[in-house]
Amino acid sequence: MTNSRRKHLIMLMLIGLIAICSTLLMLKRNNEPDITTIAVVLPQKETIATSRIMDGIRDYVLNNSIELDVLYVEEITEDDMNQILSEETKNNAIGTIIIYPEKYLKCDEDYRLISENIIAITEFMQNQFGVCAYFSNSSKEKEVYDAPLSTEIFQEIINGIITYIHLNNTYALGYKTIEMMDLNGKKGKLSNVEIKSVKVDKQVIESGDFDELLVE
Amino acid sequence: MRKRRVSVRILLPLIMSISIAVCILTCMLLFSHYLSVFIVDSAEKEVKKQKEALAQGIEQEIEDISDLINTIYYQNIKINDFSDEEFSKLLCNIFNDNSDRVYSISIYDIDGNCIFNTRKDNEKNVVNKVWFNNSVENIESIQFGDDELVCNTSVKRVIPVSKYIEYARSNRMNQGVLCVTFYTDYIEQILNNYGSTLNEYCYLVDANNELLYHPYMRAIESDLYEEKTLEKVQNIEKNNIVRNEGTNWIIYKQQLGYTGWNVVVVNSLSYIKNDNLNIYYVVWLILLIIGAVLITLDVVLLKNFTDPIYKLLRTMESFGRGNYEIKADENGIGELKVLSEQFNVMAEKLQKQMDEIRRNEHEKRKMEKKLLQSQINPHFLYNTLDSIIWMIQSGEYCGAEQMVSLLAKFFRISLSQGKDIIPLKKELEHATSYLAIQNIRFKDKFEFHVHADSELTKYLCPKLIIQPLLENAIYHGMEGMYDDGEIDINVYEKDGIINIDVVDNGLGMTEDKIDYIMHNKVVSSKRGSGIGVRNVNERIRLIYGEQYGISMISELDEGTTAKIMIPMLEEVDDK
Repeated sequence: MTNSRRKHLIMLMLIGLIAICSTLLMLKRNNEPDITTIAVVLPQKETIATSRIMDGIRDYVLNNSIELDVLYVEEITEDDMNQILSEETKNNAIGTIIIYPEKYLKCDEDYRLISENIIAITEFMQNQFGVCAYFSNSSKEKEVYDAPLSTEIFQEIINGIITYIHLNNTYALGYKTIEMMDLNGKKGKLSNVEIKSVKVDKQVIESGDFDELLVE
Repeated sequence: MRKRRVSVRILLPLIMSISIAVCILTCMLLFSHYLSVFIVDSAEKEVKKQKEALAQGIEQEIEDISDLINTIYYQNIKINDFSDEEFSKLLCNIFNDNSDRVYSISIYDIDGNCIFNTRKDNEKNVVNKVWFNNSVENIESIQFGDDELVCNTSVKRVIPVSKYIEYARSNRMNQGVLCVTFYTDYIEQILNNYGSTLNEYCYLVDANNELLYHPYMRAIESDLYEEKTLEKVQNIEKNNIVRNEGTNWIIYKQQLGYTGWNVVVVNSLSYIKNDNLNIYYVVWLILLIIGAVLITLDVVLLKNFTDPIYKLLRTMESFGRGNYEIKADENGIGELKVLSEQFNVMAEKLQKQMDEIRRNEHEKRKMEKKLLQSQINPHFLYNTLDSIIWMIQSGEYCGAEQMVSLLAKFFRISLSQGKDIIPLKKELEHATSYLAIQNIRFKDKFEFHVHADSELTKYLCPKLIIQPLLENAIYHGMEGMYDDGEIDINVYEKDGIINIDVVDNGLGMTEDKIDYIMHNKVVSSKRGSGIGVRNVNERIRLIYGEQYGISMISELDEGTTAKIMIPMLEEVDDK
């Protein structure tokens, strides 16, 4: 075999190799962007509020290439919580959202969960967690309710018994919390999520501006 | 400026490779364009189909609602008297049968006073409601109002659907408005079945382009999302592809009957294209591979064509430079092989002719050489023989005997069995014989001495090269001298060259004369050997090369030195 023939053979083999590698790469190729995993811990017993928070979370997840690792818990200790967090870290979750820990986490008052990339949606255990999501004016107002509106409150507002109430937009709380985790979780630059409650009166109800938030 | 020669070996494959690359790129672009058009067309058709399916589902629901209203009106209100007790029962039965979709059935007189309602909480101020006024103004058609919130077991959204009616009360015809309030659940369920990602979704707008349904309604109300296609939806009658925020969107809308509502289906074209990106990659890769293979084949094929030509060119160049032994490789395709073969035939013929010419030239030179060697003037022999005769007549028998002996030696060496090259020793003997004969003839007019390194006498030299110089010394140098003439032959080695100096102390010569002797066919004397210095010089150069030969230095009244330079060549055994 002459040198030139050998060169041609090597050239053809190289082209073939490039073709095979490219095909394999393409077959493995996925047009989907990289999926980010975020863990969510919430109470076993689902309420309308947790359901709305999850709606917000899921709506965000649906359009942002995120995979949720949802854990329903009933009653857990500090150790259990630490174990959950450590397992989620092993599962490559970029962070954990803890919803209403006051409903299932049994811990001392001086307990401090020092861990990165955790946002707790809580109003009563803010001291235990570094970063929290909450409604800013909920504790200051007297008439504060979680969305959706109950029939009684609705009737009372329509009938003028109550002039107005403050409604906690739990959907927005869930949405903004996971948005914060998605955008800043990897960078480790999480900060508190603060949502203002919506003032709802008869006029607001009749305007139809918040229909979807008010209905179940 | 010298023009740079462009090689066909590079030019042809380059042009072909560029052409192939351009073709492949054009194919890629055309394919991308047509595939893109195809994808967009398919996507548009698909979205249109989905929009029609959605619209059909909602229109079916609207038709059911209309049917219910018409049933209530034409089969109950119109044929019964309002004051009849059965009238309310009939309406309540209809309500109960449809309670899963109907929130309430109510009838208002033309002034807006509620005269019947399946619910206890009567709506007040209906005269301000759009649906009421529209019904009064358009008595033939069914009117759809704005959605509103109601409270049943939970807070829900409803749509009031109304119709102008004429009803009998105590046998007296009255005008009024029938209003049936429907839950939006059924319509939402139909719309919920469609995709609800931000790349593929649908929404419902009313006649005022206000959102009635959107999969992200809560996010919109929470200011977390904004429907940016809403404004553009109004102007999409002709072109269904809208560019928004750097992304192309396929948007289709369809009006739903006489409700004034529009169902809008939105699909991200970029997402659809991205979804089909693999097809692009596969075809691009195939085209690239085809291109690479074609270029490789092109290079290989053209190499097979151009290489033999290139090699033949190189062979011809080498042949042109004088390498007549070179042969062209007889390979290549078709005529190219014949071309090489014919070149070789031509080269072979040419070489034969060249050899012939060379051989002839050699023979010619050899003949010339022989001729030069044989140019011994017979005068020398006659004179010598005359001298011998004279010596015998005058009783100088010893001298005659010596002369005959010397002459015999002289001729023996001259002939040397036909050899051209003889040992230096023989040549010196020949020169000595010659000098001795001449000395007898000239009656000891000069003295001569031979100084030769015995080591050098074994080396070879062309025969009869010293004698012409001696002749020159005798006839040009010794003539006019009286008894004190001297001729020396000195043989020595210098820088690996044998130097034979013939030195005389004669009258010397001018440079012009030396030049004349060296460059003209002259002999020293008619009485001499007849071999000129120039001939000797030419012979030496012919045999050994241009760096060897004869040089002469002379000074008037001082003498002349003729120098022969020959290489140190030893005789080797033939065996």
